[in-house]
Amino acid sequence: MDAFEALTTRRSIRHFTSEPVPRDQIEKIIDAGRMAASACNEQPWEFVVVTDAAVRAQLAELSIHGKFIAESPVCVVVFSKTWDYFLEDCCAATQNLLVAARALGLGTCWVAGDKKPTAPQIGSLLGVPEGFRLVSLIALGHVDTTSRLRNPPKRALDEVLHWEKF
Amino acid sequence: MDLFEAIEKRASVRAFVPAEVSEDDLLKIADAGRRAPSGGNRQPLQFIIVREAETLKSLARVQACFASASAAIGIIADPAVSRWWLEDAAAAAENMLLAIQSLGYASVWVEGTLLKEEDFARQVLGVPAEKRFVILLPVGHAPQETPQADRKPLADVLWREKYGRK
Repeated sequence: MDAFEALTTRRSIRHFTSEPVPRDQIEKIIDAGRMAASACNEQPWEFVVVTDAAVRAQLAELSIHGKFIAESPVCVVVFSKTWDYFLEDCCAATQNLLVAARALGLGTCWVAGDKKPTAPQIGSLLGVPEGFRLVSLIALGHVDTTSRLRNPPKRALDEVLHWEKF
Repeated sequence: MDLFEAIEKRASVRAFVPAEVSEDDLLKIADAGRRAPSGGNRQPLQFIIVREAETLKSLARVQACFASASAAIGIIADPAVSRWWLEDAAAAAENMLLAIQSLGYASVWVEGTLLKEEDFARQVLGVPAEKRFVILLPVGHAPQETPQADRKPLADVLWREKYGRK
């Protein structure tokens, strides 16, 4: 898919079909995350791909705002080693995952991980060693087109764009 | 350009050759930033496009690359609007880097040196003190094709079901 189409048509998807996502597509999406920008090329990220339904049900519960993780066939959980720019780098990687999935015709929803009180429990559920921080959980799957899609408005470009001076 | 090609080609470029970047392209890049996801769709970001040579020269105090850039795009976040302002700024930055790449231009994510000079940069661009000026991206033409920095292999960062499991 053309880059601009992917970058500008991505939206949060919270309803998925049960159709599994092929392994090669999951790898292509994580590969895009791996190529995101990172400060000093630190690449502090670790991606845990969860498909097990029982584990996803637990993640859905622990993630608070990610109930649909129980329904999406895949949840990619992004962790970072401790590092000054861990949040920026892993959010850049998360964004690459979202647009890569969009380009493959798949749907995603980004659920915040950092600052979540349950972050340590999510780490221990997935066997992540101490010293790593949870950054995001990404529900991934085929879009259930029978569900009503929310399409919350974005502020118009001229409302958020300034030329030369703020 | 295909999205995956843009993801694979995106590289950090810190010196540029003089050539025009059209207003239309700058609008497309800012639009890609505007359409990045934001926590709770709160959209705490504003963007500034800088094209005036004098201003770009001033911004070289932040990082030398701005002196040779054709333009720059600043990301301004309002922490009063969202607690996820840094996550959102990072997602918008990555979207804009991919947009810049896909239009055939080059850039680099400038943050660390900007944060050290944040008050100066606020003053140059008239950004109010209560806002955060977190990321500034040059936009320019690379003197030659720059390969992406070496990456850890996919197998080193992708785990299946649990951390450490291949």
